[in-house]
Amino acid sequence: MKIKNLKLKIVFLGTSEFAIPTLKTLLLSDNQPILVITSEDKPAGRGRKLASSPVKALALANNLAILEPSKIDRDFIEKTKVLGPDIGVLAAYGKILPKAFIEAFPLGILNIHPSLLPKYRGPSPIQAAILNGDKKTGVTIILIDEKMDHGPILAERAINIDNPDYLELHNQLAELGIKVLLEVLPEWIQGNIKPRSQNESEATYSKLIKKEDGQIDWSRPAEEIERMVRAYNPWPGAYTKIKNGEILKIKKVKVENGVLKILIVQPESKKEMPWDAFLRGHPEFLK
Amino acid sequence: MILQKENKVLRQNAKPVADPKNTDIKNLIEKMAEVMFAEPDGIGIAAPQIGKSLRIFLVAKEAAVRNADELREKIGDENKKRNIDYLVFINPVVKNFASKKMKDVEGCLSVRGLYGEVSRAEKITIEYLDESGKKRQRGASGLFARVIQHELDHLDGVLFIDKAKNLKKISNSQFPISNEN
Repeated sequence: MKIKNLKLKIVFLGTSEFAIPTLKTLLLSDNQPILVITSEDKPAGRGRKLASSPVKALALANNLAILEPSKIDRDFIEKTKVLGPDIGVLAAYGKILPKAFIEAFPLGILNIHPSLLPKYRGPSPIQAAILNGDKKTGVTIILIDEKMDHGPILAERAINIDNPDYLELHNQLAELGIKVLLEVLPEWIQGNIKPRSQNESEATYSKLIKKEDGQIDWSRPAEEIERMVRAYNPWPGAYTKIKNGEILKIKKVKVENGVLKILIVQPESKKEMPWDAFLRGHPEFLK
Repeated sequence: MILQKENKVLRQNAKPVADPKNTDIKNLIEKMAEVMFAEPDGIGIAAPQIGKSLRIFLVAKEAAVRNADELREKIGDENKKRNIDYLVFINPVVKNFASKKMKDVEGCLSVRGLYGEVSRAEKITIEYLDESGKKRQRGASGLFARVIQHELDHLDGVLFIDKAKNLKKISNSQFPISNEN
């Protein structure tokens, strides 16, 4: 006779803020991750000091084992195998995983992706939904394979959206992601879900957003600029250059009768202020 | 090495052991122990499972506990070294068992990947020969009683999947999360 060790050995892979609700929920469970894999510390902020990822900080605070491979090579794969993991859970990790690593997980690695795949594969699905003015988006749970956001779908959940800000939608999808994952996990483990392939012909990709993407092209339609302001807040932030090349961040705008109205701005090294207040100090903007 | 459920030997009525002190039997017992402890979760094994249709089974001593959780604590961590002591039961005969039943999840070395709930008598008393051929009697309860009944079934050609409810690819372990939402 065999006794089943009821504890599932979960490895958690994640880096950014989006992964936090998922890790927090796993921490509340009887199946605390046996290992957290996260990206190595990166320079961040003004001083470009090395900063830990949000996931690393949370894992440290909970005394979880952490590994921060710069590369998932053969050594690292062996190290993971020794732990005998059952399943991986991945949210916003930021690296493509080699096949040999994925195969170390008998039940696979489940990924929470904040879009309705195959739409918006890639690194900025939440921003893409806002930039495109979508009325519907959602989360998809896929089984990771060695191609980016390409693996078969286990579950998908759509929500209607109404011009959300980035953070608002980010938080909403992160919460929805863990909710759907919790429904999917036990069913998947018990073999009750048949993965279904993504329809390649419908695949679209979101891009890696760079700081320069935030610069507003004022020749674009008002609606487009308004979406950009929402999608890029807080990072990289929609901005325009004013005299002396100084950057003025455009924090909040609205479109009225097809005309863009600026509401809140943030001049370089200053606090946010209403557009009116900024204008009083910069009469050159008044025609 | 371990016969799987399709194998006919597992369905035979195993024969009594004539001479427990025979070297072949001694070697067989050692082989059975080796196979059982090679499995991280193996706590009992019967001779038919390694192809010998004889009335012998072993129980890992660490499984001689009432409570399955107590054992999971012990063997849950695969990196921990297991205590490789075991008890040998030759030509076992049931002397008595409790009418009270209990349900729990079982798996089997001969049924890879499947787990299911089996109802078993809470207590059992058996008479058997130990490895030195000495006649013994032993009462068991809880998990220990369960393993004994599971192994006794093997000697009669019965597998736990014949009796189990809710057979699942992995044990019916709900994914236990205290989701506050």
